[in-house]
Amino acid sequence: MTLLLPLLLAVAAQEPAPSQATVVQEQAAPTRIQWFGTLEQGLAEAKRTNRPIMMSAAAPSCGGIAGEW
Amino acid sequence: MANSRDWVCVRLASYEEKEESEYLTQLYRGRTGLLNNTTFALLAPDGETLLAPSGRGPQFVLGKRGNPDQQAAPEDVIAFAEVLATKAKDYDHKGDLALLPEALDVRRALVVAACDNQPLVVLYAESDQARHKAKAQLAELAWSEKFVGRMQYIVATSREELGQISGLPKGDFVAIIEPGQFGLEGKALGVLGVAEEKADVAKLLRKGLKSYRRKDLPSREHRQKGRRADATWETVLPVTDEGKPPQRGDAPARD
Repeated sequence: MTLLLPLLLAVAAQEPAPSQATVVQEQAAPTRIQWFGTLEQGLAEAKRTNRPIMMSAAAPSCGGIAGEW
Repeated sequence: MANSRDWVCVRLASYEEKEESEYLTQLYRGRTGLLNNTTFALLAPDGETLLAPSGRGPQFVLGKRGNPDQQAAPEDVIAFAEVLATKAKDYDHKGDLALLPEALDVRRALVVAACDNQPLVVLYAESDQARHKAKAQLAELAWSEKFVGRMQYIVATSREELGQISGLPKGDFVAIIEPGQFGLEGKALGVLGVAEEKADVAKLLRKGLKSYRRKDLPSREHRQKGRRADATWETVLPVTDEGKPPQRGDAPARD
């Protein structure tokens, strides 16, 4: 999941399309996407504001160890 | 360029909640026909209509079936951002995003904060009135330019939920928490009462961000250290994905 971040970070970037260098740089920076963490909230907010939904899911563990996507 | 606030971005923790898992399985299922470790979909505001092929990760939107753990090519990043920007234009927004974006509960909020390497903001208030007021204030801050995307949030529903967090006061509070390396516990970096002004809460959040210590262990070291510490994550629901990359014979992406 960690390496999916470049694609998702492109969404959050408020800059011109990223070069390879900026992609690498952004991987080390905090994600700027503000995620809704529940389906109920996300669906409600999408309907209320008429926004499309970017739906992502992952287990918050890697190799059974907690704390890493 | 795509703007993430043109979209409602939802990220669910797989294998944690029955209804969410059933929903995700409807969006995409792998070769087992069951829920994958990772799922990704672009949807209309109704939450049902797919706007692009769904799959294990964003690369499926581009019609690619590679391993989601592989590095994204720069051209894919650009193409993906363009897809998002184009599709978002089909919808006229009604107002700004305003709900406080929360995790399922404190346990899940802590581990997600650890995964994202971000602080967690916890609100706890006994009375509905105090809780609603503080939550609304926090939601405004969460979507403000200074803080958007930089923290996780949770409104605790009981004190029992807070047992894994040290440094919390006895009464009502808003606290900024640093999760442990594995997100199984956390410590308060700063605490305020719930009746404080928004400017004071903003000050607390800034202070928390400043004193937060990022944990940048490489993945392999994280897992090694986690095994030594027995920092395992126990899912609520059975895991139905062995975590292998997609293979021939996988269910096709849903259009």
